Formats: sequence, structure tokens, C-alpha cells
Amino acid sequence: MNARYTSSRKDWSKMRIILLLGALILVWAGLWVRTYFIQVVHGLELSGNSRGQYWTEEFVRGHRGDIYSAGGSLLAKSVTVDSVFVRPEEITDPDRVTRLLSHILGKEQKDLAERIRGEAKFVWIERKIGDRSAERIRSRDISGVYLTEESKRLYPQGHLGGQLLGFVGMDNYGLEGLELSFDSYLSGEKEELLVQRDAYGRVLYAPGELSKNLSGGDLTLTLDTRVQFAAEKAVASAVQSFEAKYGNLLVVKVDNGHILASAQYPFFNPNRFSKYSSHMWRNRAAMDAFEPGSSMKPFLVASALEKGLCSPTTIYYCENGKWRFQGQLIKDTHNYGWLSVRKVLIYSSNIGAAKIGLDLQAEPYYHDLRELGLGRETSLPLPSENEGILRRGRRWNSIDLASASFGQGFSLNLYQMGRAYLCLANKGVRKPLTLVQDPVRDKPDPHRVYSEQTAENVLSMMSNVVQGNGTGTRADIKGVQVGGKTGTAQKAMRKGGYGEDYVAIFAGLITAKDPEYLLLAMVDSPSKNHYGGVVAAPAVRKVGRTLLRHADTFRKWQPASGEGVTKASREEETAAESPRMVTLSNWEQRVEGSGVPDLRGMPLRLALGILARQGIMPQVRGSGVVVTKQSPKPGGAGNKEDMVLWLGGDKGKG
Amino acid sequence: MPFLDRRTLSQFNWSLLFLLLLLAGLGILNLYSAGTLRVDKGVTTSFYYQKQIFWFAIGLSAIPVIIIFNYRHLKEIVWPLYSVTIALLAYVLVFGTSISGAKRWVDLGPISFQPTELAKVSVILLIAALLSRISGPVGWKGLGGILGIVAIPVVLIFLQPDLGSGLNILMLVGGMLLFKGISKRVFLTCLVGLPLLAPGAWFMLLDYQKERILTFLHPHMDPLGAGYNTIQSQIAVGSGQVWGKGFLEGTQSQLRFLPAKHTDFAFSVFGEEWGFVGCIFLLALFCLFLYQLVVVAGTSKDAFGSYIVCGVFFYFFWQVLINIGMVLGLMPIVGIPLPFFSYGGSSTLINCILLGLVFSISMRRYIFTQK
Repeated sequence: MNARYTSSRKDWSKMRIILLLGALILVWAGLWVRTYFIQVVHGLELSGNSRGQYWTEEFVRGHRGDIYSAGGSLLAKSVTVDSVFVRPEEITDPDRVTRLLSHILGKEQKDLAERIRGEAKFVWIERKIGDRSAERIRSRDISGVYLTEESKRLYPQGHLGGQLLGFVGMDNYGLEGLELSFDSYLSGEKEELLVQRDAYGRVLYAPGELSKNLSGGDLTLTLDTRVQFAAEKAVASAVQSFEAKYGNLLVVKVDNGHILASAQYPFFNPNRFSKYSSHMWRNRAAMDAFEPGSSMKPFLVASALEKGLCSPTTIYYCENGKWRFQGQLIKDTHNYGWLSVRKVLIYSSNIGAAKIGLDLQAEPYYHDLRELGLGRETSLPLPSENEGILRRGRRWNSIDLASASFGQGFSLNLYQMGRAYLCLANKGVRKPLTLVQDPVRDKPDPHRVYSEQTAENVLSMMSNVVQGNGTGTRADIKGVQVGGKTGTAQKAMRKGGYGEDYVAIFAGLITAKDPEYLLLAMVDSPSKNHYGGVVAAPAVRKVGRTLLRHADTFRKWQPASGEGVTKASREEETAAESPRMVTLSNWEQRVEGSGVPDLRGMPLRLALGILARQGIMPQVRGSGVVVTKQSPKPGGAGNKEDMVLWLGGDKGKG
Repeated sequence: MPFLDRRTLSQFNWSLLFLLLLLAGLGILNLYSAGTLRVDKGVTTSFYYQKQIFWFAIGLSAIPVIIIFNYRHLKEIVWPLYSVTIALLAYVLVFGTSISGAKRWVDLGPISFQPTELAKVSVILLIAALLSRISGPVGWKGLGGILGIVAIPVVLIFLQPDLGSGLNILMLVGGMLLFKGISKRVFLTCLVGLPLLAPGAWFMLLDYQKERILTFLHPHMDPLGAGYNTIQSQIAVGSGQVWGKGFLEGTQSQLRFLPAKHTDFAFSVFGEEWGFVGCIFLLALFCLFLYQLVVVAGTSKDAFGSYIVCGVFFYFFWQVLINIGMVLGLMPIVGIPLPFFSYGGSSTLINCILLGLVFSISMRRYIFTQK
């Protein structure tokens, strides 16, 4: 190799290496430029993309509050249950998954297969499934099949007070009844949380994010489950035996206006609200207004007495049952001649009432009806109350006045009627009805509508209605002085006039002289018989007997003769009642002491009640009405706070 | 076997060791973060970083062994080593253990071994030996021979299929050739001819490989499907912005948006958490590291040694360039790991072995020996 060649080769070699390194540096610089563009130039935008992917707003709702009866029985409670969903993309063997899910959940394969093979990224398979199914799915650990926790509302007492309680929908919003009107109170605080969601859509909470207590408040009603149960049974029997459309029964404690029962038949079980049509879950006592008919006569008489227009012994000529007044024919069911005011009420003479009304004049009568709360909402916390129709008195002509005297031409709902009777029962002082004990609501001041004398006069007439040849003798309870008033109102037809349908009403007072309880029974469109005294009065009697059996104050009415509610008849009736109506005392011995109570074999509602009183909220697994298994075991010293109850038996009947 | 004398020892390349430790340390730290996943409440950390420490420790302890051994004796075994490699690559194709569709592993009982990694070493050594024998620029004949030699293992690797490793070997050999120098005619012909070959290569790609290239060109064509990785990786890096989200604060990583974040996309995690500043720093660090290799290659008096270091340089250079290019959306997604950052036992070990060779060469670069 000569020197020149070597040196030129060396130069070339050096050049080449430098060029090569230069090229490499240039390529490398591309990385720097690219990071600059991605992180600095587009950084903000990509940062936004990033946040958009994982930040998601979510409403976090607190645990929904419970609803209790006055005696502490659990009426509604939210428990955590599992729901199944699939992400079809992640399913490897759709046939197997379809077969498995169809087997576990008892769903049709065809429908399932369609959903599993669908295009959607997220498909609900079934919401709020039973614990056993959930466990079976969980143990299989099928890829693409997920369980998520949701809150489910349980009504441990089944249909008890169903229409009153209402229900919550799939997404835990109250949709009817008290669940609706107290929705914001029960559901507690709702917080909009910014939560992180991972690439699979799972929501992740940062620690401490949920520390705030968002739980809703509990609701305690004035309902007494025993009275409610009796009322439901009585109204069901009335509706069934007279082949009526539906019926309502209201029980009010007079001294404080507490509604002890508000029953409606056909029943509605909020646990399975989706199986019912909407007219089944309407609380007709609040939502339907009706013409009260004769059941308003005591108020007419009271107003007349109050004005001093007549006394109980003032007599009216009742036209032998038929009276043509200004071209309108007014009829009585029996033909009467001269009747005293007292008898007008006892025999429920329309002609007599019309004449009293005409003497009284429209304006004073209207004024008193208004004072009793007709045409005005009852202030009960119930949604969609129908406040009825009461036209202004000065627009009434004399025919309007005559009809209004026997309860036609205006309408009211059952609670309004209850409020009106409560005023009478309360010796003329108006007070509101109460359905909710806790939270307490402001109550308006009591207001006197009738003098005590007037009220007592009318109450004494009402006691005669139930006796002798009065219209309401079927409400009589031997040994107890029951007061009452029947009503047999023709139902106004939509096109005007009156048709063949009636509303049978009975208002009962126990006792007539010194009312402790007010009972209102109303049966819509009974077909076998339509008289309030025949259809509705027996229901009031049945509930009255239950009331007396449980009332502490009963002893003071206990008749010396031993008639009336004897011990034997009491036991007989208890035995006849459904096994669901178990009184707590049977079980109380078993739960004494500080150890873990033995809840096995106990109906769920009792078990929950017992635990609730100890401040324990158990987890409920499975479905059914009877506790079959419990953890920790009875008598042990296990941690009661982590109580789990497994249910079984009577599946589907709960 | 020649032992180390004091003079050789005094030439130990401390800067390279420092850079190696720094990169490996950062890599393990990043792997710790990449393994962190947010769960219901709090986080979980997977054990990848621990395994990586284990493999790095083994690799690090292999370096002194390689240093003691004079690399020049390797020249004599390059052909046997090459033959064994080919045999093993062929063996894997037939009997290899398949992991997610690719046959890459020889199962040796408790440990499994990737012949592909061995191929990288043996190809570098063989080509270095061949190039050191050729005087002057490589002509057609030399190029043909070398390509023929390289083609056998590369094709076998492509068949596994492992596109990334095959490409890496092809490209590092290309780099070595450029370093050695090829004749102008050959160079110019290749410059014009290679792009013409590209369409042909397209038809040899597998469907998923074609899809990757297509989605690289149009990532938003299928943002939740094939384009997902590219888009998510850029969102992660970009959302780090200038200063980064901070160590263990990478939301894209912890919320599982990033794919393969402890292997091929480890750099996305780094970019998200350390931002532009961190990326610049890491790229600079890699630059210094590669520069050290250039210095060793340039100063080695022994051609064989020089070419080996050149091969190692390109081995690392292409990996860093392609991996980061892929993470940043500059290149289609190819399974090429980022040295010291991507989790992988075999590749960590091979990285250390190759650097062990560099250390060995670096220490002996001033010892004049007859060729």
C-alpha cells in the first residue's frame, strides 16, 4: 500500500464515519423533535384526552333509609344485591356462556344468545339477582361475565301497606307512595363525585373519597302492623264477598290523629311492582275522590244544630219516601212520615236531610264543609292527592243544596272524609291526620269547628245508627258502644247522572260516646249488595274487634257480662289468621340476653326487627321469607355487626 | 487463558459502567411504576421489577467473566457458534414452546431459553470476524456472502414469527457494513434498489403485521381496535406534558389504558410520569451510552474488536430508535424492546453479555497485537 492511497482512503473512511454518525444523529434528533411535539405542543390536548378517558362524573347516593311501622317493624329496607352484565367482546365461547347463564338464571337461551352476540360493549343480563345465582356465577369466573353490586329495596311485610309505601324503581328512585314523597329524605345525600374509571370501565374510588356519610334518614310511620293486617284482611273479605271492584279501610287514632291503618284491596306487593298494572298500585284513598252520599249527613246535622236551627228532637215530614222538589224526585229507601232529626240520621232519610239542608241554607253548610277540609288537600305526605270538588256555596241553587244535604254534588277522598270525621270524633275540634311520626312535621293549630255540645249530640245520634233498627247494626260489637254512619252513594257516571254502581261506606267510632278510634270503610262497586250498612259495616266491626283486643285501654270497656271479646274468641281469631301474623312475643324468649340471638326458622321481618332493635343491620342472602341459616351462630360471641342471614322456604311467596 | 494484567485493568471503562448502572436503575424504577395498577381502593404492584433485578444481577455478574476472557479467542469459534445457533433456531421452529402464537423458546426444564438472543451474539461475532478479514470496502461479492450468512438465521427468526428481532439483526448488520464501508457502486445501487424491494416485502408479511403498518399510517381508522396501542401510548406520553405527572402518578398506566406497558411500551410510562424533561434526559442518557460505544469502536486498534463494538452499538441504537419511535407513533408497532426498560430475562442477559464484550474490547484496545 502506498502512502498516498492510504491517506486518501483514511480521509474517505473518516468522512464516511462522520457522515454515518451525522445521519444517525439526524435520525435520533427525530425522537427529540417528536417528544417535543407530543409533550409540549400537543401536551395540553392529549392531557385532556387522557382525563376524558378516566375521569367520569358519577352520582354517588347514600344508603336509602328504612321505613318502620310505629311499633318498629321493618316495612322497607335496602339491601345490596348482585346484578349480572356481560362484555360480549371478552367472551370466548358464547355458546357455553349462553348455556351456563341460561341454566343459572333460568332465562331463555335464544334471547340470551342474541344479547351475548350483540354489538354492544356492555349488556345487562339480569339486574338484582338472587344470592345463590350470584354465587354460582362468581365461582365459575367466566371471562366476560361480570357481577356488580346494586341496591335492592325489600319490603319484608309483602303487600302490607303496599299502596301506601309505594316502591322504588330499578335505579332506586321512589316512584310511588311514601317512597316517592319522601324520596329525597330517604335517599339521603346525592353527591356528584369525579371518579376514576379504568380501561375496562371499572369505577375506582380513591381512599377516603366516600368517607362522608350520605345515608338517607329512616321513616317511622304511625301505622300499626297488627291493625293494618286486620284492616287488610277485613277489606279483602268485604271486596271478595260482595264482588266489588276495590275497597279501602282507614283506621285513625282519635287523640293524636295517627293513621293506624290504611288498607286497600286488591293488594299490591311492592317487592314485585313490575308484575302489577299501574291501577293496582294507586293509593285510591288519596288519589280517587268520590261522592260521599249519606255518610255526610252527620255534618249536615251538626251544622244545623250548631246554627240552632233545630234540636235532635225537631221533626221533619219525610213525605212517605217520595218527594218531588222543584221537579226533582228525592227518594228514601223506606217510607217515613214525620221523623225527628235524630231519626233522620238513624234511618238516613234523604228527604229529611234535604229539608234540614234547605233550612240551613247553602252558605253556612258550605262554610262548615270547607272548615272540615273538603276541597282542600289533607297535607298528608302522599303524592298526587285528589282534593275533590266542592263548588262555592253561593253558586248552589236549591236543588244543589238539597242534593248536597245527602252528600251528592261534591266529592272528596277517603283521607278528607277521615279528617272530617276526626273533627267530629274529637268533639268538634279539627286536627290533621298524621301518617309519619318521624320526621315530625309542623302541625297547624287545632281549630274548633263545632261546639262540644253539638259534637256530642251528633255522636250520640251516631251511636243509635248501630243499634236497634238503625242502618249500621252490622258494625255493632257486643259490649262496646260503637257509633257510626252508613253511606250508600250512587256513583256519578262520566257522562253525567247516576248509574247502577254504588259506593258502600261505613264510618265507625269506637266508642261512640268517647271516640278512641275512627274507622272508615269504603267499598267501590259491590255487586251483590250495595248498602254501606251491609257491605262496609262488617269490615269495620272486624277491625274494631282487633283494635279492642290489642288496646291497652280495652279493660275499661270490658263488660261485666263476659260477652264481647272473650279470651276464647280472641284465641280463635288469632288461630284463624294467617301464619304471617306472628306476634313477637312467641320469639322473644329466644332472643333474650346479650349473645347472638337465634333467628333460625323465624320470618325475616321478625328477625330484621329484632336485629334492628339491637342496632344491627344484617346482610340478607337468598330469597324467601324464613331465616334458614345465620352467621355468627346463635349464642356465640361472634361479631354481631357482621351478621348474615340466609333465607329459604316459601320461595316466591314473600 | 490470558489473565488480566494491571495495565489492562487500568483501562476499565468506568463511564460505560456508570451509564449502564444508571440506565438499568431507571429501567427498574420505571418497571416498578409500570407494574402498579389501581384497584378498587389503593394500588397493587406486580413483581416484574423484582424479576428484572434478578436477571440484571445475573447479567452484571456475567460481565467480569467475559472481561477476563480475551475476546480475540472468539474469532476461532464464530463458525461453530453460528452453526449451533442455526441448529437451535431450526429446533425451536419444530419443537419450541409456543407462547402466544410464536415458537421462540427452548424449554430447558426450570429455565427456558430464546435462541434468537443467541443469534444476535453469534451474528455480530461472525460478521465482525468476516469484516475484519476483508480489506477495503465491501464489494458485491462480500455483500452477497454476508447477506447469505445473515439471511439463514433471520429467515428462521421471521418464521417464529418474530419480526422485531429479525429486523434488528438485519439492521445491525447493515450498520456494521456502513461502518466498514461498502463500495460506492454497491452503496448507490442499494440506495436505489432497496426501496424498490419494499412492495415485495409487503406480501411476505403476516396479516397482523400488515395491520400494524396500516394502523400506523391511519391510527384513527380503528381507535379501539388495531389503532388502540398507538393512540393510547401517545395519549400517555403527551399527557405527561413538560414536567410529567410524577413517579407512580401515571394515570394512563395505572388505569390500564396502556398496553404492554412493562414490555414494549415501558417508555410510555416513563414519558407520562417524567414528562418532556424526563424524556430529554433519558434520550440524552442513551446518547451518552451510545457515544461511549462509538468511542470504543473508534479507538480500538483491533478490527475484530472494533466491528464487534460497532455491531453492539447498532444493536442498541436500532432498538432504542425503533422502540421509542414506535411509542411516539413515528413507526409501526414492531415487537422491539427498549434496552434496560422493557421487562425480559433473556434480553437483559444478552444486553449485559454484549456490554461485557464491549468492556473487554475497551480494556484491550491499546494492546497492540499482531493480526
